Amino acid sequence: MTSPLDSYTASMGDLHFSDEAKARMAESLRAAAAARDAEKNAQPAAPAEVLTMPARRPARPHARRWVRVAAGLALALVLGGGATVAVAVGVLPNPADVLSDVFGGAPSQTELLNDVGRPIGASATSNGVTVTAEAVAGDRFNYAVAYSIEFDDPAALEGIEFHEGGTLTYVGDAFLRVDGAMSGGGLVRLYDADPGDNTLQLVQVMGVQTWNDAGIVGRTARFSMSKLEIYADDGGFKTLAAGNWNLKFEMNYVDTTVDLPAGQTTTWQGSAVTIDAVAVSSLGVTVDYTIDRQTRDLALPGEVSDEALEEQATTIGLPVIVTFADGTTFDATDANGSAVKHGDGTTTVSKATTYDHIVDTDDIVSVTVGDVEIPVSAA
Amino acid sequence: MQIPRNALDRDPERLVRDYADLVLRVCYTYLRSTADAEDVCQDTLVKLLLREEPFHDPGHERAWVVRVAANACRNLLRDRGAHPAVGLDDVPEPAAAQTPGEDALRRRDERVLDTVMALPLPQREAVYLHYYEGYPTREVARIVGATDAAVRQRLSRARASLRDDLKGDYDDFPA
Repeated sequence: MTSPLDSYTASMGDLHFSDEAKARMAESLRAAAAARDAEKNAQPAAPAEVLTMPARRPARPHARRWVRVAAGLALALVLGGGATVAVAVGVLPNPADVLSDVFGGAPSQTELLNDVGRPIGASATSNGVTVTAEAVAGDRFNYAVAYSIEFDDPAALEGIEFHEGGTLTYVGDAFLRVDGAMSGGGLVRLYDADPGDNTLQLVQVMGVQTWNDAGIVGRTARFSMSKLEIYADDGGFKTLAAGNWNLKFEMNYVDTTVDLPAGQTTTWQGSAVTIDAVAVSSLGVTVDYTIDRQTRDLALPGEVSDEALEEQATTIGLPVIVTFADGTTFDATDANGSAVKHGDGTTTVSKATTYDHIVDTDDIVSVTVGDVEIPVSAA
Repeated sequence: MQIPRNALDRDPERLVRDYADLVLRVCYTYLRSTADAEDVCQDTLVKLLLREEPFHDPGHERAWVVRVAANACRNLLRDRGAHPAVGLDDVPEPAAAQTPGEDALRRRDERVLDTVMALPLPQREAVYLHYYEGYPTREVARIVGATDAAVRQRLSRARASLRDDLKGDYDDFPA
C-alpha cells in the first residue's frame, strides 16, 4: 500500500460484527418482521393491539427492543400524519419578500412569486437562536424555502466578515427531507439581508426525484439543523450557532407545472435517446430521458477523474435548454439529477432544477432536449 | 419517467448480511466507538424492514441505510452534548488478522486510522463516505446535507491534514 487512504480503507474493512452478533440481530429482526405482519393482519378497529404484542412474546432483551420499535413505528403509521411543530406567530411575510433574492425582484416577478408561493411560519428555538421557515414556492419536483435565523444575542453577528451582498459561505448541516423524495440536489444560500438586525437569511433551492413520480406538492417537509457554520477567510470553519432545530411544515404552494409532449427520440454522442417526460413551471424545468448507454460508476476511490467525468457526461450530459418569450434562455444541462441503470443496458436520467428567476408559464416558449425542440404551446 | 420498481426483498438475513457491518463502520466513523453500533443497527434495519416505499436499486437502498444510520449517530452525539463520550485513546482498534512480519505495516495502519479518526466530524464522514464507501462527492453531499463544494472542501482539508500528520510515512498522497 502506498497511500494512507488505502491503509485507512483496509483498516475500516477489518471492522465487522461477530457472527454471533449478526445471528442475534437477524433473530431480532425476524421478531420485528413478525410484529409487522401481525399488525397488518390485525382488525382495523384495534390498532392499539400492536402495543400489547411485545409483552406476549418471550424474547431476549434485544428481540423485545426490536419488537417495541417495530410496534411503535407501526402505531405511528396507524395514527398517521402529524401536526406542524410550531405555529405561526404574528404577521406572515409575503413569499416574495423572502424569496425575491433567489428569483429576482422585478415587480412582475414579485407578483408572480406571491401568487405561487405560500407563507409557512413554522419555527424552532435552541440556544438563543430561532429558525423560522418563512415561505415556500415550488413546482412538482423543485422547491425553494426561505428561512430566517434570528439570534437573541444582539452581538452574535458582530465581527463576521460578509462577502459582497452580505453573503456568507455556508457549511452547516441544515437538511430538509420532503416525504417521497429519494434523491435530489441544489444550493443553499446564507446571507444577511439587513445588517441592522440580528437575523440571517437561509434559502434552500432544490430539485428532487421521488420514488413514484408523485410530486412533492402537499407533502410534509422536515427541517433539521444542528449547527450553522461558515467558511471563514482564514481557511477555518466558524460556528455561528449550535443546537437542535427541528421543524415540520407542508409543501403548500401553487403548482404551475405544465407537462409537455414526450416520447421523442434522438441521439446523444452516438447513443439512442428517448425523451420520457418534460415539464416546465414558473420556477423550473424537469426532464427525464432514457439513453442506450451505461457508463461506469464514479464510485471507486480514485476514479473521480476528469476523464471519468467526461465519460459520465456521455450519459447524463444531454443538453437541456429552456427558451423564454423575450428570447433569453436558461441552460438546465447540469441540473440536479439522478441516473438509474437498467438490465437492458440503458440508463434513465432525471434532471430537475429551478431557473434563476420566476416566470409566467405563458412566457416559456420551448424546452430543447438535445436537438429536439418541444414547444410549450403543444402542451 | 420509467423507474424500475424491482422490489428488493426485506429478508432479515439479507438485511443483516448486507448492512450490519456497514452500520458498524458508520457508527465508528461518527461516534469513534462501536459501543452503540448494535442498537443503531437495530433501529436502522427495523426502519428499513418497515419502509413501504420501494427502492430503485441496491445502491439506492444502501445510500438510504447510510443516511439513516448516520442520522441516528448524529442524534446520539446531540444527546451527549455534541461531544463523543469516548476519547481517541479508548477507541477500539478494528480486529484484523495479524501475521508475523506485518507488525510494522500494522502499526502504520493504526497510525493512519488514528489520524483519520482525529479529523473533525465533517471531514471524517466525508472521507469515510468518499474513500471507503466510494460515493462521488455529489452523493456524499446529498447524504450529509451539504453542498458538493463543501464536501470537496472537507476532503481537501482532510487530505491536507493527513499529508501533514503522516509526512514521511507515505510517499503517495492523493491530490
